[in-house]
Amino acid sequence: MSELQLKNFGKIAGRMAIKNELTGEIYRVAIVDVDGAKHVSIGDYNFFLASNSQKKQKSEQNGPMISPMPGKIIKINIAVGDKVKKGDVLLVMEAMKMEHSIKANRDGVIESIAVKLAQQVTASAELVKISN
Amino acid sequence: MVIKKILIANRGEIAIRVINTCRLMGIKTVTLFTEGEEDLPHAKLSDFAISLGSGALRETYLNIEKIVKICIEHKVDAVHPGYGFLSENADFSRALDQAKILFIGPTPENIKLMGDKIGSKKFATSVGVPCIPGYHGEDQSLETLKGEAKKIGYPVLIKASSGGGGKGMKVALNDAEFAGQLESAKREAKNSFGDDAVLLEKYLTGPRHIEIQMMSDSHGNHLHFFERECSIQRRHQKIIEESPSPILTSSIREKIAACAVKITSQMNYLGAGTMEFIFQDNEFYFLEMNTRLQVEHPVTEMVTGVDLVRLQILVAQKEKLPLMQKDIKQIGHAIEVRIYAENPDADFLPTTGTIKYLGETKLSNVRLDTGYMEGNDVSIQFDPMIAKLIVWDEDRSRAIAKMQEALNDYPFLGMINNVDYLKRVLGHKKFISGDTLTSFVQTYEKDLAPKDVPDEIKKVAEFAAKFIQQNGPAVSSSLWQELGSGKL
Repeated sequence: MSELQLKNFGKIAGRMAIKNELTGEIYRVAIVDVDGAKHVSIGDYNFFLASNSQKKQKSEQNGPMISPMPGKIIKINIAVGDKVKKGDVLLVMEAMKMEHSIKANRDGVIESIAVKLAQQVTASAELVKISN
Repeated sequence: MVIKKILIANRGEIAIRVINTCRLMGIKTVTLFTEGEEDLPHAKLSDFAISLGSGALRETYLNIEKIVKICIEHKVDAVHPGYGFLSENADFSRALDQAKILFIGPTPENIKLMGDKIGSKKFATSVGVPCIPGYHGEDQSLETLKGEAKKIGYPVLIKASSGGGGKGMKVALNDAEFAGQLESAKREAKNSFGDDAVLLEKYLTGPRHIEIQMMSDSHGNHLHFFERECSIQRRHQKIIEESPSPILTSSIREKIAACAVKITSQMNYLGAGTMEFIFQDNEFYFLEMNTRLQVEHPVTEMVTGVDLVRLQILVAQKEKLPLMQKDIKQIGHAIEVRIYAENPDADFLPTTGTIKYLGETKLSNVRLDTGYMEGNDVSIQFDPMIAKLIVWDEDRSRAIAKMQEALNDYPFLGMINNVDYLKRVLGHKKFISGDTLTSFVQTYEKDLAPKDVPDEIKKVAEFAAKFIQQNGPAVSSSLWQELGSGKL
């Protein structure tokens, strides 16, 4: 990485201009807050800059399986105590009339099911716990 | 008659698209909105905006009775249906006809013929247009369908008879998974279209999606506006469209277009439509005809220089098309990308959020069609497409380079979206070389995974974040308009 000595250089087209004093390079930065994280656009790159607490959360493994989107549970293929293999279809969800299968993220036994048939769930809602 | 006032029975970017042409033609517009959509631009850019109230789609944008009543109350001359919703609904066009209001689109007979996926293929075959091998029978029993699938040969595509947009569509790779995929397709079909009838088709392994833009008037003129290639798809829905196709030779282009014109002229078509073909190994097969304006119509407008909505309005008021086939030229290269609120790294599932920074560009020949502005929420109530970005340049490689730059200018910050994913597709060597098969997204899944952000860029972002923190809690782009550069 080249040396950076950054300085604010005003604004352009709704973006911050940030200048590297050592090379003269200008970075045009759009940056907004999304639930504590920063959503950033710089040149070819758009990315999320996670806050420290979010980074911590992400590193915790073996948590429950969570809903990847808001939607409705339209099928439940498993019961508590069932043995499942990674890739097995546990639930089927529907959002915008599209079906999406929720597949087991590892081998294990179903410890709990947090949703009922026809239930509407939000994104990141707990769906199923799998124990080893 | 001359149309003086149009009701747009749609929302979002397509409503705004229609408003723009109406303004240029001196036509007043009426738009519709539902509870919660008051802040969206389509409810503000028209001359009149009427509330449809709240509730499920069948109570609002799909409520024929309510919309016709609004048309009568507001004395509109015609209705533009956009795409989706009631755009291919023969009952709607008939109800308008009874109320003496023009439907800007084909006749109810046209819609009925092409809306029936089985009937439309039979018709195409009868006029000598090639169709893909399949089963379009009424017997929907598992044994019959399974037997037919075997006859066609796996892999087989199972499709809702009255479907569209990838809904109710499943691929069965072999006999063993056929029953499961059939069940899923039927369930989606029932939920989406209220009809669980399916058809089967041979699933080609390396196909491209090629479609021809059509336009017909009521004086026997049936024109085409060349092709669009829309092979880059995910979940059976298009995400990148371009014209010309990187693969077609002029002789095949002429052949496909001639077939498409054969269909519109033989069925006495009226208005705009799109003839969809599947293309592999220099063979092409008629898939279906969409009897409306398509999402990707701007690509055609960019290379031919015509305003397709204007032509739709002219032919709806029974005028002759103001140009002839020989006047229509395909010049340069246009590409459209569809910007979706979705997560490409999680199966392209829809995401939600607030558009906090949309972006802007100073590049020429760049068109952004969007139904949103900064501050608008994107909910799961409607389609997750938040914008279409279209660019034109002299040739394909320049158009690709321009699109990369244009996407940098429009990041749509505020929710996980597919902007970076689109950039990775456009930058892939197989896209650049024109090897754009419909399987592209799956085939190159690994190559298309997110790239690491360089440390230098992260450092700049952290610097910016810290600066904001020290200069107050505001994070919206408007902060930078409020702060003078002197203060910075």
